[in-house]
Amino acid sequence: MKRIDLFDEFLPRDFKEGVELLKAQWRRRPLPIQLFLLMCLNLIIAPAVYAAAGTEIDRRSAWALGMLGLLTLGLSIYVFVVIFQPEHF
Amino acid sequence: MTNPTSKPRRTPQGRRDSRRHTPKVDTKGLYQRAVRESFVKLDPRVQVKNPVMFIVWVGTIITALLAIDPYLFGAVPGENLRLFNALIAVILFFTVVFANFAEAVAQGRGKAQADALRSTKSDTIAKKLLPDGSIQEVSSTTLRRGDQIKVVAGDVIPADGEVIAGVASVDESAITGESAPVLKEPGSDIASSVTGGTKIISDELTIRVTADPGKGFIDRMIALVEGAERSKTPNEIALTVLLAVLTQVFLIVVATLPTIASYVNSSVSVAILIALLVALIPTTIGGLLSAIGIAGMDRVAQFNVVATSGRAVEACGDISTLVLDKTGTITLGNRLAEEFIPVNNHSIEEVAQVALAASVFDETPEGKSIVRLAEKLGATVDFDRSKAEGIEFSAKTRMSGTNLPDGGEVRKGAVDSVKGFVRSRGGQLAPDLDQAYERVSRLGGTPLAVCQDNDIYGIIYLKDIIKPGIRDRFDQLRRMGVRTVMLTGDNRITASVIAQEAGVDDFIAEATPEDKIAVIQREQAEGKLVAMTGDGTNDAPALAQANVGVAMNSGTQAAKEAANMVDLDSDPTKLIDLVTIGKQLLITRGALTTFSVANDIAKYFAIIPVIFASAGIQSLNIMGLASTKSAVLSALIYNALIIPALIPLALTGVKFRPLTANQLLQRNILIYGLGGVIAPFIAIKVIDVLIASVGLA
Repeated sequence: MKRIDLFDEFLPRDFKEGVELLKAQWRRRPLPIQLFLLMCLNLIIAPAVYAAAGTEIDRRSAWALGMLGLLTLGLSIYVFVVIFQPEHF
Repeated sequence: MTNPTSKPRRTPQGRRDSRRHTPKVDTKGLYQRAVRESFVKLDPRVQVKNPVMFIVWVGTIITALLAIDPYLFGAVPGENLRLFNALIAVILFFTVVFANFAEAVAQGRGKAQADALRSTKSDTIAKKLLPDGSIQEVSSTTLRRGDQIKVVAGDVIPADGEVIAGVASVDESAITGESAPVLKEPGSDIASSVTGGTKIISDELTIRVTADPGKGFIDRMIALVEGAERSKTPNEIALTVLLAVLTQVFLIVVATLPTIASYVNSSVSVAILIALLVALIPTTIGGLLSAIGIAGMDRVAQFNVVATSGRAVEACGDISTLVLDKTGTITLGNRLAEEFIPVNNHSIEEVAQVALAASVFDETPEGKSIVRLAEKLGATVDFDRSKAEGIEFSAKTRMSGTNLPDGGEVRKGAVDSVKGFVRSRGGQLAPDLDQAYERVSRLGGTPLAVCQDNDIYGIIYLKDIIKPGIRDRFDQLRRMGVRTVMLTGDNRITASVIAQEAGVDDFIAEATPEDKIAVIQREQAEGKLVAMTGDGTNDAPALAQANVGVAMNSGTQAAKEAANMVDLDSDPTKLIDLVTIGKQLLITRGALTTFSVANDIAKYFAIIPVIFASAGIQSLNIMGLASTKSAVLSALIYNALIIPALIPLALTGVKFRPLTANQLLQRNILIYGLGGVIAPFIAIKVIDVLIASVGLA
């Protein structure tokens, strides 16, 4: 059966190059890429926060609160890693 | 088996009887370097290694952002929010800097000590012996384990090694501080190993290198005191987990608090939530933990002991049984001949004559003292020494002596062994022998029988002197719950007399090297941790078996490799000091953890009323703090300042007292637990009054 690379076939060339660049950069310097992806994720979370808070906060605060939530979650995961692999710290 | 000399010692907390030298440590500029280093350590890649301080660091960044834009996370009631948030950010920043400073000071002291040690090492030109016997001059860094080198008077010994030929005096003051030169010769349990960096001051030696470059004892000591490659000890790992669990719990509590605050219509800002989180997580012990560990290694190094790992030092604190050699550890070691007791109708002059003949080849202090006493009684060597043969003492035969040119055999040694020798030559045992033997034993001396062929001539009384103060030290160890077992080759009566005088808990008489390992295994089977000292090749298995094995630097390479600590001063009594250092390390860590956790209560009562102010719980403001802002700032300032305030305690260690585990626990709970509850209430109130008086909040 012939294998079709859907990634090559259908996605725009610029997007494919962008993903390749991200993969290469992830290997070299993962932190900026992780931050970038977190901010992308916050594009989904921030509107939800904004919707939930009603008129109490503006869009900018909703985005900041989304980031704060992700940061808190990240810190919690980091502390769990310390608990389970303490010899690395 | 052990070093016979007695040296003044220094106890970890006690007075310094005589300065036990360590290479001169240059601490000039230590604090300036530590201040610089504490800012360098702000690098997040360094901070992430300390979970508690990393969270404070993240909190600092967020509050700094809030100082720029107080409404970043939405509308917050109050005035002067920018100043308030900036103050919180500055206090948190200094909390991190102070924690870094504590670690940097401890590391700086270790580095200074490592530099002093490193100065004893330098790349030198080594005279390498090639297989064809010729000498090639090479750099000491190219030497490898197994290479043979030649050193002559004036040379610095380029690497750790074992003497295989030659006899020479070596100046070891660079590592031990002892200015008297040490005789080195091959095939001896106590004088065959040499350390790189020491200097040969007479004659020449051929040495087999026993360590690759960078892996010698000095290198190990440098790595340990610098703390660069220090791996966490089991106790530190357990404490890291505890701190992380506490941090996780408080992180979850603080993250969910806004929901509860919102329910009671009490608005709470992110800056105050961060302040509460930092106040609740155990920042004091989190900031001081690594400093305590590094300082513990530093204290061991100050005692001129090379520990191969921090785990070994910590294990010292958990030791429950000490196995000690009698000679050199409990007694002064240089037993001297005090009296000849004739038996079997022989005269004292005859005993002196035979004792002299049996000791002419004996180079031990005991042998030399027998020769001196015999000569004092008029005995002379009446045979050609060059045609006689010296018989060395061995643990199996427990005798030494001389085979005379006329075929006669003179022997001296343990009474049972000499009895066996006489019987094997067809002789009869003297009826008054046992009386003389018991008399000497009951005096706590060592009786040596002396015989020629099949005739026992008498008993030599070797006087043993118990080290002054050793009984008090054993009493201290007993109060700490450490059991002492004395091992001796002496007979049962002598051993029991010495054991009673010295105050050891148990003894094993007529012990062979195999008995050492049997004792250790028996104690370990009962779940106890055992420490012992040794220096001979036959001690190596027992040193490896023991939880803490301390080898003497003057001992053989095999002993040093089997042990997890090497005492550069070759003082077996130091094992008792090491137990004290280990216990002090564990107690310091426990005490500061208790203090750190107990501090939370006061900080909680300072900040919680602020968060729930609108819920009408002002009655919780039991300290009567001036305002909500000053309450938060006071708690945080106290939280930051307590770290540098405790640095001296972390570095020097909690004052050690020889108490049982229960007594120590009660004492520490009282001082550091109760103290940790009360002290912050007072300190926070004082800071609050100061803040209110300057109108800061």
